Amino acid sequence: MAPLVLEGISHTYAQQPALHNVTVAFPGNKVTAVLGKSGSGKSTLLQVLNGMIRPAQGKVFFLNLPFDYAAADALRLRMGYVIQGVGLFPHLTVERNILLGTRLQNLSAQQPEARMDSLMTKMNLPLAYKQKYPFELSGGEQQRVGICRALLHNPPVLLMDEPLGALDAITREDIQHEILQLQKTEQRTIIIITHSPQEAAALADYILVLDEGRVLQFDTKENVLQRPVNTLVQRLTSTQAS
Amino acid sequence: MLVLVSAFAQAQNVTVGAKHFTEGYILSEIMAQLLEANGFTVDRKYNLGGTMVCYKALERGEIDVYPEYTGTLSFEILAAAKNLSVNDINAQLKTQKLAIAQPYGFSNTYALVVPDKWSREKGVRNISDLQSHPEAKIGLSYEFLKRQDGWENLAKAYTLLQTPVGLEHGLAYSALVENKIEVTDAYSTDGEIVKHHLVVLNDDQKFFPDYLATSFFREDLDPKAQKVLEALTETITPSEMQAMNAAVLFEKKNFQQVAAGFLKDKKLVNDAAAENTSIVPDLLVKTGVHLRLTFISLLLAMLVAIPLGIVLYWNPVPARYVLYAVGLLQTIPSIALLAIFIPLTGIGEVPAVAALFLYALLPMVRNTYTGLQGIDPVLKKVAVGMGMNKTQRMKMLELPLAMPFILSGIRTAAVISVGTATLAAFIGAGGLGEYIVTGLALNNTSLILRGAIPAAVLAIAIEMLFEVIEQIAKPKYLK
Repeated sequence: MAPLVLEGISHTYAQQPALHNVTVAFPGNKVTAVLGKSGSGKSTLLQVLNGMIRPAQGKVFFLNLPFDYAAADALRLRMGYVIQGVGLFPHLTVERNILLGTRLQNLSAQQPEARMDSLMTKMNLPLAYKQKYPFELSGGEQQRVGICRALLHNPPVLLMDEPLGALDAITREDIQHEILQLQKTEQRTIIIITHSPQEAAALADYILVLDEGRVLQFDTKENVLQRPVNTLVQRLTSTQAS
Repeated sequence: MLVLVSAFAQAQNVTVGAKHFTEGYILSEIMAQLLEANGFTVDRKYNLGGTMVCYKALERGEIDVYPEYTGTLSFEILAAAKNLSVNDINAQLKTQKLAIAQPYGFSNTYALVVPDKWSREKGVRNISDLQSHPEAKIGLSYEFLKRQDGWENLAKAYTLLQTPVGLEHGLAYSALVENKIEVTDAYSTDGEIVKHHLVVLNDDQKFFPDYLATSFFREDLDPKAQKVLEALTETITPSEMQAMNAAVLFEKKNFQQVAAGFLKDKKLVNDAAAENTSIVPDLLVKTGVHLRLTFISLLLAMLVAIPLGIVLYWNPVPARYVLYAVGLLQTIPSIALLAIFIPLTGIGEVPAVAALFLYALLPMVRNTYTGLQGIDPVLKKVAVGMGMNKTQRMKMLELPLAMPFILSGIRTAAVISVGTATLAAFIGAGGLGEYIVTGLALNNTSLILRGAIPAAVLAIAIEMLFEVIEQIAKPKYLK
């Protein structure tokens, strides 16, 4: 069962990279990396997935139901969202940032504090950081807090838009490792936008290669890396520095 | 005995208004002290900005009486084509339930004045005497040169052949003193006439319309009070009025003393009215009124401006036009804005608060709007992606981050309000502006400073208060 499905999505809008007839069923409880150059439409695709962009044509299905744009806010509560800029609220402590979700919904998560502590431990964040403000943390620590915040309510889907793009190589590898460990204990559908073939190779079960708004190849990681459908896919997925 | 007691028990409150100029204050104060000496409680609403402000206030019952001139009543208030007699004026005022009393005995009209010495040497006492002195040097204010009741028609009426030069009215007296000119125009009760030893030439052909001063009151004014004010009929000669104006303007006597002296000299009261108590409590009362005007208007403006800023942020297309409109309010001169409210709300604190409210809007609306606009788009994007709805984003993210901007908008508005509130005195709202406005009218610097210094101190105090508030409210990440 695919929790997120795109059916014939086309979207051309002057200020956003376009999508042309994109149809994808994202496999449940797997990590799918959406790989492409900048301007390939991969960010547009992510915003179509959580309803921030309503496509001109085509349908989005979330948990087997057509996406209800009137109830978009409520639907997004069930999709974690992590972006490159992190977007921790500067006026709130780490603790209050992570617990933000509890103020948004009546889900009254079972013991959100315990969940927060466990997530922070899994993301290698000292619990003493809870009282710190975002500006007191390094970039890597901030993104770890961002991931904890997105996962507090254990959403079935996690959307990540270049989450590690601005970090140094070592921090990036550490966080990739933490994400994979987490995926082992609490499986969920993760869609991660990246321009880095290395990151896709490290994290993904499936890779979707996007270019100029069209899907070039969508398959398991092994198939895409070993059997690229054409030379463009080969170049886009090459882990060799070019 | 019983009759007397009940008369006192029923003694009414009378509100006396005054126009914002020296003679207006003196005449109003004479009325006020006379009423007080006869057992009335008097509420003084001085500093009213002009004829129309006083007239509207009287019409609406916000004042009961103020001194007015028959010429002003005829031409400005009743818009008559010619000067009307007291009886004609009363006949026309009847429908508005207003009336005037018999005149006080002097007319404050345009006049030609000459140095006393020159008048005696040349034997010029009447305007018609100027016919035989074609060499007389005449310097006239530009206004008098142009007016219907000015030079052109005056010269025709008296067949005067001199060619006058035009000059600023303020310079005319010194030109006379320095013998640069020998004749100029003036108001017939100007204090300068006494100061510079001038004489008013007799208008022997009755060219100038009479501007006879008298009490202008509502018909529902207590008949006993009307009776008391009738005692002023034919009690003030032109030279007495000149002397009283000169005493206030040049001898720096306060107008309360001058009024008390007049009533005593004319035996209209037994002893001088009680001196004003020490200025300190009065200063505190005025400061209190000033702060009340400022804070009520600020509070109301906050309640409107901040929500308006939020609505504009949510609707950026109309936002530009609304901001233009609010900005336009800022360009209306304060006096004009105050005056606009008089027909709607009358005089007093209500129009003052309304005007201050409008002035406070712009800085608050604009800062709220720009503060919200300036928030990092990444934060807005992540808040949407997280599933926050519009209200939650405003409450948990946007308002807290815009708060420093909003506070500085409130601070700007507060400082503007403290300054502008001084002008509220023009429409009888009181406050520190009363000292300033009275001081300006009387050319009394110490009185101006008595209002201006506390107002400046208040402005600085408010700046400092907001600095403290901003420090406390400053989010930790900005410290």
